[in-house]
Order: sequence, then structure tokens, then C-alpha cells
Amino acid sequence: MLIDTRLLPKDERTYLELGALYEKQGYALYKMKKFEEYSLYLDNKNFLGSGSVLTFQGFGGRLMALKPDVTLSIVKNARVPDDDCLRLYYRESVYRTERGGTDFKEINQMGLECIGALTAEDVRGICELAAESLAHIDSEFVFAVSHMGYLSALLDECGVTEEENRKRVTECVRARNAHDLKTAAGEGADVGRLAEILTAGTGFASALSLLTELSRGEGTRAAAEELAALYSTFADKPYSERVRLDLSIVNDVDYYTGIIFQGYVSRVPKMILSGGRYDGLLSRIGREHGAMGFALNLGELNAFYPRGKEAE
Amino acid sequence: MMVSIALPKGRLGNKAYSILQQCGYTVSELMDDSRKLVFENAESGVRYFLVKPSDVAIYVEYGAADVGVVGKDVLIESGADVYELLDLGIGKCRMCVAAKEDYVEDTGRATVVATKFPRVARDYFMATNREIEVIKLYGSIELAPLLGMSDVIVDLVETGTTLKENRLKVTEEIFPVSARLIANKASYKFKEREINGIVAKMREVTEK
Repeated sequence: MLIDTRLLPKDERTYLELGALYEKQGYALYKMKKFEEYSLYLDNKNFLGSGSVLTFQGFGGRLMALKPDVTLSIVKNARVPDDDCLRLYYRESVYRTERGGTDFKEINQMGLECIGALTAEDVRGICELAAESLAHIDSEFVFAVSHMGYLSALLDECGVTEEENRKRVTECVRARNAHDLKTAAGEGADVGRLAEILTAGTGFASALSLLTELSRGEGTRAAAEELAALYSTFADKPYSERVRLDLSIVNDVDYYTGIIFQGYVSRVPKMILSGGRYDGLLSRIGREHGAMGFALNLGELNAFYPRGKEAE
Repeated sequence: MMVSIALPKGRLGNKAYSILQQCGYTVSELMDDSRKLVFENAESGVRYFLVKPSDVAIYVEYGAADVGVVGKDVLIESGADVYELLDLGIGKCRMCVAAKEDYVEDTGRATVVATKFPRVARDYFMATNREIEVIKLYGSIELAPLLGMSDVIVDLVETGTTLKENRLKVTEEIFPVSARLIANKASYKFKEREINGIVAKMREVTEK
């Protein structure tokens, strides 16, 4: 019996379409257990962005947790080849609280990870796959890119050195809040360049030329060059104007090191895709590899794309 | 592209609307004394929602409104993940700890704090490693220490007259408060030009 995939719920259809896309690019499906030892999440609380984990007592008295995140499990368990990359994609449920709430939710997530000897081409390929994933879901999408290396180096260049001030300034950047930057940065820091970036537009070409113009040191210059190379990847794409450069996208600097990104579709009023380069996570657990990936929140889609009514 | 704006009902909303009016985003019936909650002007590309002040950040965070005007106090208390694009410089006051004029802190036990802002109170006292017990109230906060229900209050102080009339004093200032223009992060991605247009005009008016 043939099944008309157009009648499937949006999350199921997206899973099938993206699974085919990822497999074509050499990614293999990876299945995993629903739980891990709690200590894995306790040690990497900041990577999760939330300390809320559902725990239970395992056999032999070990404290176990229902997975709040997939990447940590993959990074911990996957065997990475010496001279190549491990390319995996997954569809799993994760369990966590959202929006600072106290109720746990089962989140239907799909994503991919590339771990190993990452090349610049791999990085650009993953960004391209993330943008293509959004395009499959809805032609009205925005793929917004940022660079943790640029922000981190810019904070150094601006003289924001104390950890507490860096945290406060980062919060301002995340909120596109240019008016409180000066107070957050503390005495002696000059955050004028940061304010200029936050109040400018996110069109990739103009934002990139601003970031390049405001680069003063090696760190910001190298990051701007990496972003320029990424921009050239998208230059010929029909959706190139949907790719933006937005420095207000910020992740934990201890884990994320290079290009990071988020994805939005016009019907869903929140982020549905996020990812980036997280070499920092691997070095924190004692591994030398590079790593990059992204996760897509499939669970959000069905409410905004009702079955059979997508055209509306 | 139409931009929807959540305004807080009351004094702050009226002040914010007056700024928006000067920017050209006028909807004539908004200031009429009616029970309508949604007002639209297709020509200037804006739609206004009038909502309870403490709900503005929620409407914006969930994308029901693209942008909104909210006090920094409500914004911090809600913990909403939104963009904070502009300090409008209106509705200025201070978030403070206040207590009876003769209050002396008893460091041997947890301080009892009455407030409308439990998150702000917890964060502030936690940062100074002080143990507190929070009593959430919805109004007339000043009564709590007078009746012995709490040691201190955490509340907004504008001129200090209410405190003075009730023989209370400010003991610590937590942060200055003013109204902010906030935006939903997803809406901003799709309506960046329109929203930045509103920001630029409002900045021009407020910085005059």
C-alpha cells in the first residue's frame, strides 16, 4: 500500500524528508537509549543551559537521568575515526523544562552531529544542511549565523576582562540591548563597537563588512574571515537573502568556539533550530576532536502546520 | 508588513502611545474611553493591543505581539527571552529594598521579604548570600512591615512619598527602572526593517 506523505503530520514528514537529505550527504541514523548516568549532565550543566534533569534510581543504586540532550550522549559514546569524521543523525525524545518553567516536557528532536577531523568544508557543509533543513520545512525561513570566537575576541579588544562583566555584557548582547552595555561593561571598557554592531542590520553582506571594519586584533579578524568564507558558500543559493549575520546569537563560550547559528520559520514564533561548533565540549571531556552539529525541534511544528491545512 | 504592538493599560501605556503618536503611528480610537482591546491602522502599518502591564512581556515572548512596551521591573521579573531594543526613558523609578525607619537587620535568621517581585528579590538577596523567606503580595506592599508580617519589602519607589507617609525608608537600591521597547526574537527576524524603523523613530522622539 502506498502512503501519501502529504497527509502525514508535519513532524513525521519533516523527519522522512530530512532523513533522506542527511543520508544523501553521508550521515547515518544513530539510535540511543533514553537515559544516561546523571553525572554526565551534572558535569556539563552549562552546556544544557538548564539544570533541570529528570532523575531516577538505576540498578545497583546508580542515579540515572532521562536524556535532557542528545549531543552529550553522542559525544560520550560514539567512536570517532582517527583521520575522518563521524557523521550521524538522530531523532530522539529529550526531557527538560522550558522557558524557566517547572514542568518537564518531552521534546521531539531531530539533529545531526559531525565529530572528528573537521575541515572548513565540513563546517560550511553543516551550515548548508541546517539552512536546507529550514527550507524543507518552510520557504519563509531565516537562518541566522554568529561567531563565538568573534564575540569573545571583541570583548577582549574592548577591555571587558572581568568574568562578571563579560557575563553581563553577553546578556546585553543576547537581548540586543545597546543602552545598558556601558554600565554592564564596567569602568575602563569601551563597548562602542559592540553597540554599533547591535544596532545595525543583520543582512549578511552589510553586517560582515561592519564586523570586518571593526576588527582590530587577530581573533576578530580570523573569525570575520571564516564568516566571509561561509557567506561565499551561500552566495549562489536562491535563499541567500534568508541567511543573516546576527551577533546577538550567543552560546556558552566554554563549550562553543566558532560558528554558531539559529533557525526560524515565519509561522513559528520561536527558534526551531540551533547549533554550531562545540570543540570546547570535547576538550572539557578530554577529547581532542573537532565537533559541530545542530538540533531541530520537530515537536513545535504540528501546532503551526495543521494536517491537511498547510496551504492556509 | 503589519507590526503588532502590546501596550500596557494605564499611565505608562498612555505615555508610550504619546511617543508612538509623535512617530506617526496613530490610531484615533485608542485614547477613546472604550472597552476595545485591539486597534489597527493599516496605513501606518501598526496594530495595538492593550494588555495588563505584567502580561506585556509574555504576549511578546509568545509572539502574540511583535513588540511591546514594558517596565524594566516587569521584564526582569518575567524572565522573558526577548530583545530589549530601546530605553524609552519614561516611567522612571527605582527597585528598592525598604523597611521601617527603625529597622535593624537580624542576621541570626532569614529575612522575611514581602514583594510583588519574588524573582527580583530572590536574585538580589542570593547575590549577597543572604537567606530570605519571600511572601508574594499583589498590592499595598507597604502594609506588610507595618503589620509585622515581613521585615522588609522589595518594591518600586518613585518619589518616596508613600514610604515616608508610612514611616518606611529605602535601605538598599537594587536597580533603576524605566520603560523598555521589547521585541519577539522570531518576529524581529522576519520584520527587522519595520521594527528597526519604529526603533529609530522612537529613539529620535525620546532623545529630543
